[in-house]
Amino acid sequence: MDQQTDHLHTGKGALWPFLKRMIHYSLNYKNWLYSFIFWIMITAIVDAIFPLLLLGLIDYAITPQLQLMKAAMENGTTHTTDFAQVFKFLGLFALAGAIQAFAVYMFVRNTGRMAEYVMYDLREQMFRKLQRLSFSFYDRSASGWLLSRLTSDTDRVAEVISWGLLDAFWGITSIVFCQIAIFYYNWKLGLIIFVSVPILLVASVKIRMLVLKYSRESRKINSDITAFYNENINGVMINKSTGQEQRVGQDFNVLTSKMKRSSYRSSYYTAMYLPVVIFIGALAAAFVVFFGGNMAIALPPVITIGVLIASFDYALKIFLPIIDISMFYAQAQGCLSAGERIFSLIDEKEEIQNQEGASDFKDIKGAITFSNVAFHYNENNPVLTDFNLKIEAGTSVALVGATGEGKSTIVNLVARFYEPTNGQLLVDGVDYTTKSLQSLRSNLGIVLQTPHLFSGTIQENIVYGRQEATLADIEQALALVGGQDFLPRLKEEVGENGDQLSMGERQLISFARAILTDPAIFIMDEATSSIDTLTEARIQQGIEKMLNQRTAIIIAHRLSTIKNCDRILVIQKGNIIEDGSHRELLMAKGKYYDLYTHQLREERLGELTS
Amino acid sequence: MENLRKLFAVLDRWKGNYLFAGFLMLIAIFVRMLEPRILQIAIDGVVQYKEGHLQKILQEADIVAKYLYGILPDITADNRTYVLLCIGLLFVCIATLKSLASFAGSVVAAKSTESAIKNLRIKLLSHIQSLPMGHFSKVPSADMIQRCTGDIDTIRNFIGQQTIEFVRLTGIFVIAFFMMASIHFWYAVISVALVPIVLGMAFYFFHLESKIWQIHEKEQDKLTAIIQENLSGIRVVQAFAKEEYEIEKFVHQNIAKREVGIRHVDYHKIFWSITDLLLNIQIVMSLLAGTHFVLNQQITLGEFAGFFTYAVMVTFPIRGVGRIVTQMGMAAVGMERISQILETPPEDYSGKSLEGTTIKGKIEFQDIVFSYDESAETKTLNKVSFTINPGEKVAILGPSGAGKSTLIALLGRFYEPNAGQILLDDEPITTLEKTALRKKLGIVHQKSFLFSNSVQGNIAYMNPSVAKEKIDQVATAAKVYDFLDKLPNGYETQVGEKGVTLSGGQKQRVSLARTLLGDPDILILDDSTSAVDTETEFEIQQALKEKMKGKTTLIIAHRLTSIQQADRVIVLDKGKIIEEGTPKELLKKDGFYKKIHTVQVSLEEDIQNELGTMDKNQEN
Repeated sequence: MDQQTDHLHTGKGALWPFLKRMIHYSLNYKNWLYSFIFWIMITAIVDAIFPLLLLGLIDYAITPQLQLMKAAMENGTTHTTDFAQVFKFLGLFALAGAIQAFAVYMFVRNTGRMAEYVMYDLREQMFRKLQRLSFSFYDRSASGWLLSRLTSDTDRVAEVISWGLLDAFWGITSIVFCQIAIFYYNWKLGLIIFVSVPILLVASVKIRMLVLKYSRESRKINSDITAFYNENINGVMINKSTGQEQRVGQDFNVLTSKMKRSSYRSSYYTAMYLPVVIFIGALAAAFVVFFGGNMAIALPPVITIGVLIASFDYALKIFLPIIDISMFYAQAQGCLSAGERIFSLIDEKEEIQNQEGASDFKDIKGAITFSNVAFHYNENNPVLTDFNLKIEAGTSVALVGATGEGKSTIVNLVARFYEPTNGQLLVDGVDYTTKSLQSLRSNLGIVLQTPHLFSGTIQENIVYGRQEATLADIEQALALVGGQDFLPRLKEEVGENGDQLSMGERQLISFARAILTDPAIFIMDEATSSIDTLTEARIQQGIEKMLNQRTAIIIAHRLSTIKNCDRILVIQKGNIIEDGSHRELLMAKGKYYDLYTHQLREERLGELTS
Repeated sequence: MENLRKLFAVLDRWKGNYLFAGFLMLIAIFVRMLEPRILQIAIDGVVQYKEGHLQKILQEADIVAKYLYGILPDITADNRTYVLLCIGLLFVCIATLKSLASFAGSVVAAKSTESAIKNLRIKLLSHIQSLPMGHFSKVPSADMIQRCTGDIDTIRNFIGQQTIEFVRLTGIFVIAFFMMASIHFWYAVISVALVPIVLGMAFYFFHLESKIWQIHEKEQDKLTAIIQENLSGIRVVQAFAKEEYEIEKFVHQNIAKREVGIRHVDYHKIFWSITDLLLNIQIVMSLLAGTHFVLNQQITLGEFAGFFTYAVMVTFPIRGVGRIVTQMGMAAVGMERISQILETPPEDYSGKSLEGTTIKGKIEFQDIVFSYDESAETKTLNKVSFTINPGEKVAILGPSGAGKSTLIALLGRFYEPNAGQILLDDEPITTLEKTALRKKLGIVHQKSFLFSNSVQGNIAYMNPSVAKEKIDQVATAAKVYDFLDKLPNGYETQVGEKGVTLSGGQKQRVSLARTLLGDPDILILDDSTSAVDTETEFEIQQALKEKMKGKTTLIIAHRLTSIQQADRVIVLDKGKIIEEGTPKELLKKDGFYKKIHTVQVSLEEDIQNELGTMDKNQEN
């Protein structure tokens, strides 16, 4: 969201509601979800069975044979080894191995698919939402932030509920089965391992949280570092011009030192993690050796050698599932804020949407009426209060006045990029909120101050609003805006954001793009301020033709652009202070007269002082 | 190999520490390898005690086991608990030693890695700052940023993780194999018989995998590009009611990305399951061999148990080696890309220092020939000569692409001319130190660039500790002061990504103030008030007139209003000077100046006539 609320997404929220909501996404793919849970449990069970098979091999296949051999030796006879039992256990071993390999195949397949599909769903849901959110949302959201929600945030969250969940299930099943197996053979040894589990879990989570804390910190610093590189590479010309090359390096030293500190700390706790949990596991194994050894050595033995070996094995391995469980926990904690960001976008209220049962506008004629309209971007600062204006269909109206007086707000309201906070806006006599947004917009031709082009060819950009346009249509549109030069260049790529073209060229194309849709209402918001004089002169002639029989609202800073409009309104503090034709207003010698003569004087001054 | 050498050169003065970390790791592994031996002697001790063959076992035991038996007290009927306690304690000692060594190793490695990476980051940034401008036009900035961030991360992973992991896995394999071989050579060989196959498979697989990953990344990038473009053009999308069209485009790519992702998963499902199967077969083989040797009484049951632990230890990590080596390959590529930057020669910063001197401001271009691409047929500047006298205000006019900004780039020595020379106060600028030269020339660039800092921070960029009065002064001259009260926090308002977006004109005003703060001896305005409204521009010009009194000023503009203060106009077209003179003189000639003038004036012509009568009335 916007920067203010982004600070709220610090991941301090509760883990459970987030997981619950995420699981809903996984539940869309029940088959995969249940299947991978099933197969990972099989894998865990087989993992737990392996030591038992080894135990069986030693106690039931090898030891009896060894005893027979010893007995035979003492009797002076020879003993032919019977491998039947050995083959039985090894056969079981191989079977378990094969089952495990198949289980691995199944869970990788299903988990991977689910991860991809959940990512897909999240991305699509967010993208659809973004298309429907109004300008006011975009006014307060940096696009970089929004983008990362659809990319890295989504990846991380999807990872948790697929691979993370898999790890968690493996860990839990493993612990349960190892525990059952060992208790079955000897409850004392079982107890040693049982006690070690919570200790391991607590130590694990504690260290992981420390790692998380510092890796979060370094991620944050990392984005600052990226921003720093970004700025000083893009602004290298400024650094050189102002001779600041050296100082930039010093500033960077502060940032990289911070980075070094936090990533070192994160590495420090990571380095501590495994030795600590393995050490705790080893303590358990030592207890097993001591108690188990005592039991095995006792006469008669309480446990067999096989049980001792298996218990030792379990004790040494019990930390593995703990690692996985704590990893899941840390991962889920780690992407809590990513999840909050995603859901806040999905839940973002659409400020402008079609009312229920909104019908379509048909053949807009272009009469626009502001009836007691009030509007504010923020409550303490009203832009319009009780604004009234009636524009007849087919007339062109220019809005004049200083920046920040409400001109752009008026056109944004007409385009329904924002809606009046009070009062009504009527198009062809109908309150436009009762009609569908799309039917209004598809009747508008809008040219904004900074022309935005999409990457692709010039032609693709021109036909953006009307894909089915023929070459003749394009030709006509270009001719109208004085852009015939583009005809042979239609297949030329415009580059990202159109940056292969000059500003003037981009604006010409955006004019052509707007006019190609043959809009009933034409809106220009400072559209000529970013182009040079020569291009403006070319467009000027076109504008006059374009405005013929069309409703138009034009904001222009250069008054020469608007002199031919039917009506010129001077806007000040959200009010119309002058209203009339160019000629009428000049005669009235009011604010418009001042503005106009001032501009002309400057031009003349240029001549006089030279 | 060359890249590998460079990769380790990154470690710089932390190389010794890093190697020490590796040594600690190896100690940790070696100690770890003793663990299964404890189990082994515990089992054999127990069994043999029961059977009374202790002496025989001691004779036949391998070196390691023999040594361990040596530490332990002799087992008698009374002290079996004591002996077991000793075994348990021995195990704890080994575990402690192992944990400490591996912890210490990782920490030392992390410390040296982070220090080395910090060093590399700063080195890279400083080097980039000193690269000639020509480099920046050749390499897109996004690419360079990627190298500074993504590639550095790759290298950091290589040094901090992959190399260590590689050493660890290799160490485990080698030592475990020797441990096994010390028990029984052929048994050891059988226990690792399938390892080469798995290893080969892993290499092959991760080679394929990295290819599909690249495709995946490409599809992902395409998806990101679509989203990015949609977001930056969202106003156009909504204005044209093309939301559905955009969604369709997005969904199409979203599917493509998902499908590649699934292909990637499918590679994994095959690799992991096949290697798991092979490794399980390996273990069964090892067990079968082990059973055989036990029953033939070639090894003891304890050795068998210990051996099995080694075998498991060795087999499974093998799968990971392929991945690590593949990722190490990526580091070589990353290093290559970073080296390309580091090996690009920086600008030459030598020359006469101008510190403390004042420039009078005579500028002379003598037969300057220049083109950005030396092989290009048409030169950007072709034999351009002119002289600007101290204190003169000169405007440079011409269509875009005429070479106007290039003149300034050459004057600031951002590029060097192919032929000819430029004199400043009769001295060739090539003899002057660049940084000082540029500070003396206050250049306000065409594209105003602000740093994400406060307004004040941007103005005081050249001297963050400058007095507040000075900032006020330049902010007033550049008309920044006028819009300060419209900003939420005045001077302290953050601009850029993390704060308020200033309008084009406002940005230009801040950049002008930033340049003025440096008290330049020559002021150069490269179309730098184009987005400022004419009224404000006029006021700025009045203020500059005062501030730059007696100082040379160069103005590039395409608006006539912007150059009305000029003493002289130079018109440039296609790299040549086509007109030169006072504005008055040029109006008499039927050239470019006149043409532009006519166009601008003709726009107003009709109304001028209309106004003519009114004006007269007023004057009367």
